[in-house]
Amino acid sequence: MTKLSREEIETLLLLEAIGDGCPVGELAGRLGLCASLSAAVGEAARGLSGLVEEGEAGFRLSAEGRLTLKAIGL
Amino acid sequence: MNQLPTLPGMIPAIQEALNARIALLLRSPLIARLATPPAEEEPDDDYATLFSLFEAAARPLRSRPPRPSTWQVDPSTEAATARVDIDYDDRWRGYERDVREAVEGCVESQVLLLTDAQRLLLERSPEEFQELQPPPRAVELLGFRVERVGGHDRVVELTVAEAPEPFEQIRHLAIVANLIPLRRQLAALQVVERLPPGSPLRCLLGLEPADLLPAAPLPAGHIAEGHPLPGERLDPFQAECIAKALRTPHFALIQGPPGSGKTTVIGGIIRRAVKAGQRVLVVSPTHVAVDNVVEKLVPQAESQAEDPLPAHSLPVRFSSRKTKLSPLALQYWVSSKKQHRAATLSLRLEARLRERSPLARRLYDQVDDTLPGRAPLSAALAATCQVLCGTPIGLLSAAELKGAEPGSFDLLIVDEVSKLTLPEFLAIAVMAKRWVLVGDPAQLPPYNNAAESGCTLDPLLDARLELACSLAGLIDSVPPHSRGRLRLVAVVRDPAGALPIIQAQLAGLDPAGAQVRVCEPKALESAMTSLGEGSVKLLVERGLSLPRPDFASGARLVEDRHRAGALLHDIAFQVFHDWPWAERAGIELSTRGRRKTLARVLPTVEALRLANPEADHAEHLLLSAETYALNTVSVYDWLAGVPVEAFDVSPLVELAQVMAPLQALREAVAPFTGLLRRQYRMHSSLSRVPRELFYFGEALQDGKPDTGKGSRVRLLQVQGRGEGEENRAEAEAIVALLITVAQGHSSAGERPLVLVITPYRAQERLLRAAVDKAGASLDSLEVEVCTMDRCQGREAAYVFFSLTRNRASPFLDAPKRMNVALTRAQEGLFLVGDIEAFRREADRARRKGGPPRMSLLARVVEAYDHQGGAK
Repeated sequence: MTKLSREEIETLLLLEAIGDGCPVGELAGRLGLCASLSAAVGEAARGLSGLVEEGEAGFRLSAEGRLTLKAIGL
Repeated sequence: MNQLPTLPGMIPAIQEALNARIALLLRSPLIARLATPPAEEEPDDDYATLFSLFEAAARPLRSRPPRPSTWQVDPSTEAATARVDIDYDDRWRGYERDVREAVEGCVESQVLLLTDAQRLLLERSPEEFQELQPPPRAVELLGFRVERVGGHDRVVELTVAEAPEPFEQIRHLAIVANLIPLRRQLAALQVVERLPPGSPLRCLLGLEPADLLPAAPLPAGHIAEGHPLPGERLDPFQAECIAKALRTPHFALIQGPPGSGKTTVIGGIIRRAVKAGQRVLVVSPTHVAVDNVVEKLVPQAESQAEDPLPAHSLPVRFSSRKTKLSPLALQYWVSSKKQHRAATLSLRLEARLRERSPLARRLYDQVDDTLPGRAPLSAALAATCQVLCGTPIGLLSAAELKGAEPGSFDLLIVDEVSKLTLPEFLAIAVMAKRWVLVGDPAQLPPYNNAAESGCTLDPLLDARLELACSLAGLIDSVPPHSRGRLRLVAVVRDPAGALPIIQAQLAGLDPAGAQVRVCEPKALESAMTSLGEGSVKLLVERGLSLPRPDFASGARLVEDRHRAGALLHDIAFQVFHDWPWAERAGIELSTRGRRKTLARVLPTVEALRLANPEADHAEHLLLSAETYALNTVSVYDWLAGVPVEAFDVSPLVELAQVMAPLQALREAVAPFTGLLRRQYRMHSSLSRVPRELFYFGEALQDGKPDTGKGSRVRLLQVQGRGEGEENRAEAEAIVALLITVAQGHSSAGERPLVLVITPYRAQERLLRAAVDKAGASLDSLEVEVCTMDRCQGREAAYVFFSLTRNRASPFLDAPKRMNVALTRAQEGLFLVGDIEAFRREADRARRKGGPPRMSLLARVVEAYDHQGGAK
């Protein structure tokens, strides 16, 4: 079984939650965290440069992000 | 840069003190490395280019196969352990104090690891050593163990924070002052310099008049100041203190005796501030106090819905390592190391995500914690945390603070502030907008390493004066009947100039046949010859480089210099921490120690004048006093003010003058000062004596109803023969008693905490060894051993106090220290030692009539006897 680092796991969970686009406030809900964590989650999403793009409607996956998710079968 | 630019409005003495600190910093190899990166060598001609090519080509030929490393690395903590030989024939020989103590003093500090060549350079030429490029490797010392070989301490097993490769082998240990805090304090002072006019921190330093501080409290807003939050119970004093802390526009001071709910108040302030959306820093100089706050803020089980802190506001406990944290605080621990940052938060996040998301469960089943990387969610969570807790210097290592702008946090709460000096406070204070200082001025003052404090005075004090003090201290430490055997040589640059200073310093001493020679380096041999055969002690003027004498010559270099600075430190310490207590209590303590200190210091001051005939004597003194005030007085005393008007002894008056300009500041802070009067820790029979002796009946009143009659204090007579700072009979008696209690307690199930306190480290080691030896016999109790100075902030159901010695000493005569020791117990206190000796002392003092003069310990024993039921 391939081992994953916490960095990879949290990144994948974020990407999965972001999906095709999602307002920052909803991210925390998708991840099963309380709403007050939304600021932190938004901050984390901004850190995923290259994998996530931020638009007016919220975050959405970049082409590279999609490939990443596809590569691990999500 | 070797000096700060002249700052408008800055007190010249402070400016000078800062410059002295900068000079000290710049001399350190650590700073030298940062300040002057090694320049790349550029060949200046073709031959040089050719030579460098040859040299590069030849390098592989010179390389030797690597030797096996002496370091054993623990993969889980990255701590590395190695064994170091102590070479008594050179490096350690001159030290009068125990090797164990010398190394112990360095734990949690930076130590330097030296190659043999570097060690030799340090011995021969300290100045050149300071210039070494690259500098020696500095590491943080976590712990050590000394092994005895042939009846002597010969090997130290060191544990350091990280493996110091590429050094494969180390053989020697050098001890240096920890300059990191100093560097951060300096950085903070430079931040203060740039703060806008009217900033409270500028007023704190006296850079601007305190009239600029706003007098009106902040509006109440929506913070529920006076109303208890769910699950919270406050007495009126606690509620008042919380309100003052939340509404101060600058500083608030909260004074609380032991067990009065200081941590409860801090928790109350934090909860309300967080609800108002504020970001809070919580610091304390001791890990125990920080953990107490964390434990007060978090629920025992996170699932408990009553937790009034929102999830993102749970405290983050920053620390460079986790070894000293309590189990509960450990759950909120975040290391300051990058690879460990947010590790704890990651685990908490994992638990939540596993509950909610099948995908998370699947992914976390594949986690490998040995893989590197910074988890984005956890890191973001840590970055947005509202409550950050740690020691002042430890917290400054956190990336969240390193990159933050000054004033990024709304509130800084400092617990155990009586142990924090003004520069230490400033280092973290610049990160906040308002400050709440919580502590008890009747407990222990800031810890000061006299040698480190002394070295900050080096630029101020004449090296000849320091040598004279060393000489006098050495003679004074030998009883008069043995001084005839003393043969001393003082090596100085200028014997003619040094002689009057040395004579002035020795004037009050009876040399009783001690032979002293003063000479310049080249005349050393003839000076030694003139003293004849036998052992000679050499004292060398600071800055003079003298080859270490041959072992066969019989000469011994005295390295443990009795610094003049250390004497001034004593003065500042006595003035600010002992005298007001004695004045207020109308008690005349044994004056032997104080008189002795004064007798030693007054010639020092006189010698200062002799050493600097052109210098303005008063200004010089003021500068010394200012430096020491900054380094020894707690920020609480600085802000609250210490009653110094009563002093009439020069040079202490100068200290009072230094403090005087702060009066306006103290008046501005006064409306935001609160006192917690009731204690909830101790059984009523345990609080009575400390209340009268240390709080004059004004605080430490019992908050809990009296649950039982009778005294919970016992004075146990053990007339063992104490040797130095050890008393085996006492240690054995205490452990025997604990074993008896443990056997009787076995069936009860719970393990009450028993704290065994002693004044001395040597006795602490003895007690710890005895407790370890008892092993499983003590299983039904939780027994911990610590010194008086380390037990502040702790509490235990039962406390045993091993007196160790049967006579008082200036160390034990410190009321603050005694107060801490006597106020740790909740249910029972046992004083173990030669109690009768102190009873006899008290009887003798009473029989003499007039105000009784006795040691503090005799007074304590007398007070417990008077209370009744203690025998």
